[in-house]
Amino acid sequence: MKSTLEISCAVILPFLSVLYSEKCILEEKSQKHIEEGEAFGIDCFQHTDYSTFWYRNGSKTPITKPNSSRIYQQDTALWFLPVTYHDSGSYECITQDSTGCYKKNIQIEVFNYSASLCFNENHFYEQKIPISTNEKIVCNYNDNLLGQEPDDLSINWFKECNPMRGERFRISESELIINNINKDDMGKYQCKGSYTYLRHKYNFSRSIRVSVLKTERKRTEILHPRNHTIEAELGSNILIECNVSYSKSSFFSISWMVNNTLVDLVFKDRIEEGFQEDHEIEGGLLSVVPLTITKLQNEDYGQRFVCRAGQTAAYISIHRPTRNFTGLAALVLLILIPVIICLLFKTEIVLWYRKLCRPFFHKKVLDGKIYDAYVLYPKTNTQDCFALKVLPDVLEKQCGYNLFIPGRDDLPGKALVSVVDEAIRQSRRLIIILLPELPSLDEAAEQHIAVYRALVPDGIKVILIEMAKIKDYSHMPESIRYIKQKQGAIRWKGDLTKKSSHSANNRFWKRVRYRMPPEHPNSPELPLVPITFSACEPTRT
Amino acid sequence: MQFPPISVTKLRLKKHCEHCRKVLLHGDRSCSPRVSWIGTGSKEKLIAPSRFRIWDLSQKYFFLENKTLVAVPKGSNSPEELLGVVPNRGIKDTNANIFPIIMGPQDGKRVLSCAGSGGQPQIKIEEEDIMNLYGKNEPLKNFTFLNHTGDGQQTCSFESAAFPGWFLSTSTEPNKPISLSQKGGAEITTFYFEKSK
Repeated sequence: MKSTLEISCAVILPFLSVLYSEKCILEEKSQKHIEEGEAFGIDCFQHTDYSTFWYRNGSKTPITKPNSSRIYQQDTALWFLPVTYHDSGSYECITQDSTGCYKKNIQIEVFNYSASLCFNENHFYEQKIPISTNEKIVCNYNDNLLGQEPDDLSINWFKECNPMRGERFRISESELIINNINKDDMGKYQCKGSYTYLRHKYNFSRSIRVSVLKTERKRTEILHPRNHTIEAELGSNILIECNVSYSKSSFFSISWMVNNTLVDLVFKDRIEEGFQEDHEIEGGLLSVVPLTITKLQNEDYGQRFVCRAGQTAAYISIHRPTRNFTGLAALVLLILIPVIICLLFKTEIVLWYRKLCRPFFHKKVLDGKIYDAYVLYPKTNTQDCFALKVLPDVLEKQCGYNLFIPGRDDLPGKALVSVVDEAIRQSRRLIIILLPELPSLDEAAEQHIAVYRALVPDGIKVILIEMAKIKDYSHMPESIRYIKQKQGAIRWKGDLTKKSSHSANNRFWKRVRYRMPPEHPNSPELPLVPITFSACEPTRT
Repeated sequence: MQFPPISVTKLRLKKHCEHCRKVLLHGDRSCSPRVSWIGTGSKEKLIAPSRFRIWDLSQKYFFLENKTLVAVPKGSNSPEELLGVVPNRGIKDTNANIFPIIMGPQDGKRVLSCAGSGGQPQIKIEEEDIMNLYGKNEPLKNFTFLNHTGDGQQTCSFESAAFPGWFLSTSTEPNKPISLSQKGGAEITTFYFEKSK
């Protein structure tokens, strides 16, 4: 009786459901890809207590074959043991409960995949692992077994066609555990193997494309602000950006805060946090959250505006601008530097200027004077050499000056005093050559006249030349001491026997020339005149 | 990608607003919203949820199948299901490594909730826009997961705020719906969670 009822139910129910199938609600449409030869099960809606029927390609006859068939239904699932290429097509399951009738459409594509190939480019799994010490990839051998556990599982792993070997790799059931993952672990993997299900052995292969997350986890870092201060004027508008770099797997908020409270709550609209922008960067993300301050107020000065990103935080604070002294300093420097240059190189500058403007000078300055300088020198052998030879060599021959040198230019027979007085009055400068030792008495008269001329108002200008270092001026006449104190002296440091000492361009002569009146335009170009100096003896005694 | 230079410049409010208007109009994902976790009663800043890719330690990704989130090995042809994520501003985060969040499939057009009375709580998918919940500023514990993550960790887990000790989990078996489990069982409660730009 019971079996008759079962048979009649089995016959009647399918037809009833077919009648309803047109009105059934299509709950789901899906696709399945499966390799030929595998054990393959698909389920209708799970956890339903009501009848479920499977149909193929719109057939009105449900698949209700016994368990011994290759294709059969068990509970809500349809099994193909094994699936063949010809099983490809559209399948539909219909289930009915108290609320109505539902159907599910599944498109099954069985592909014939040669076991000799390494990687199935059309059907593969995607798996992603981060760079770390220890991660695993999975062989989904049982993804079509509806939770049934097969026996005698054996799996071999391949990467880019090669069997996987090495200490870094370990197989644990369906998983391949990889130690110390690096970028080179990405690539095309394949797991191949077999299992036994319901006393039949089935082969399987799965292709897996493994990607390794670009770089190791990026530390959360606030790139800006960096606990620093900026200067801003009262009433100005300011935009401050908080830039945070972090790993893609981080999850936190980025907020601007003051005293641990969101700025939006503290300042209403005047100080406001803007919208976050995310940018992809090497190894992670970079987020930018702006803070806008409208019309900076006094209370904002010294306030710490904190950008908080998860556990990390950094602040920026605003200070009143300090007066800018740099402009003033630059101006002072701009004035000082030329002045210092002028002071340091005044001799060179004046001589260069005279040389440059020489063509424009009048042939003679109309002051009624004949000589450019009167030379007063002690009458010793060495000074004779300097005063009578070197001095005229340089100043007269090279520079074109006209000197009055007693002992060379005075006419014999004339009274010394009148000659000296006359010559000095006719001279523009008075060159006094000094020796450390006392001048001889017979020169005292000449010296008196000369110094007198120098000291009277609007008198002649004096050029003191020390032939050697004079440590003590106390034995010198007071007039000489006065002149020395007033305008200094030029010390001869050269060697009379050396040619370089006779050049108008050496430092000593430049200083002398600087104190001399402008050179005459008709003087020969420097240095032109060959100089003979062999007759001189060293001045130093 | 070029990103703006780190600088403090004069306010360019107008330009900034234009950008945000553009985001509102075109839903530009590059301008993902500001997220603020602390404080209550702040005005709404978020325009759209952040999008996260989630997969478990056994390389199973989430897919929405017949109103159920299932964890499935990701095939080369299968579409990607990203979860929309917003912070729950109604719950103050007390721990720096725990963030209260609300998650929803279909970019947050639906939301995950935890429900149950005694025994094992269940995951449900509610027909609710995640942004409505974001705007409510209530504790919303049933919708909230505490994201346990650390700066040095590669993975994270999601504890139900309504059912402490119960974590979002997947079965070791593929194609099974996600559920809530206590740690230490066979279920997988550890996930990779990656923000998608």
